[in-house]
Amino acid sequence: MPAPTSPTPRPEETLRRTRPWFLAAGGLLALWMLLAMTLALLTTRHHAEITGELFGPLLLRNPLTYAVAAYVAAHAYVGRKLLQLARAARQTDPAEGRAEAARAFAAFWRVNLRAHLLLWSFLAAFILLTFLLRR
Amino acid sequence: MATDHPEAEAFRQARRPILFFAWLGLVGMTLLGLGALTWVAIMLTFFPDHIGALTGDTIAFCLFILIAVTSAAYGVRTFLALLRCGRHLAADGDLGLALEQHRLFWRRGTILSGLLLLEILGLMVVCP
Repeated sequence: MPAPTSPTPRPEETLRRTRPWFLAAGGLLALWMLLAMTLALLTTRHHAEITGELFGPLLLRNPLTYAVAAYVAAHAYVGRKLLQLARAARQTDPAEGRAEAARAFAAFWRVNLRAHLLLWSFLAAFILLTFLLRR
Repeated sequence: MATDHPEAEAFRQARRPILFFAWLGLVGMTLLGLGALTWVAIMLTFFPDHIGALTGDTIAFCLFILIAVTSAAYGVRTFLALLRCGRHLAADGDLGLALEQHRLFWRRGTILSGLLLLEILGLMVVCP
């Protein structure tokens, strides 16, 4: 006689169990953005100290500023959708919770892929352009 | 076994983006691992004396490679969970199993992201 298998948990229950990881990933995403911004600001300040130029104009001329801005914009957009998914996963009402979770789940993955493809295309074009202009 | 509640279709709409993202992640992580190993091979072939001497630079290089390779291996594991999630989201797949793989992806992804952040911060402190 085959061993009885445990029933698969309902989708909204599994999403609720994933919620702490959504929140932790969101927090880490914010830290990564902070790190990227710090990197752009510190390198610009370093150049400003060496060359004696003003910080503001130098920041606008630093290619890293634009790459970091694109990175932050894309991840802020994705992070917002991730928080919406985490909020939907908190719903306790079975029918309403499941419907909201399903909508948030599909919306998050659609936006996540779109934002990453846009970001990578921008970064690839930006790196190529910077490389070509320097030659 | 298909799950037949009305919202199942909404969950399944995420199938294509998930599969696409999972494949992109798998290719990226594989390239990261192979790139790190290729770098080691190049260093061992062209600069064996440099690698042989146990200087601070060599230790930093070995640490960096170790981090890259282990992150790539764990990253492949992470994105494999997402790939399985996408496959379970097919019309005849089990939605419960798909979301369990989705949970594993987020768990592993968060651990990987946190470890990488700590390692990068550590490297920034050690080699300013």
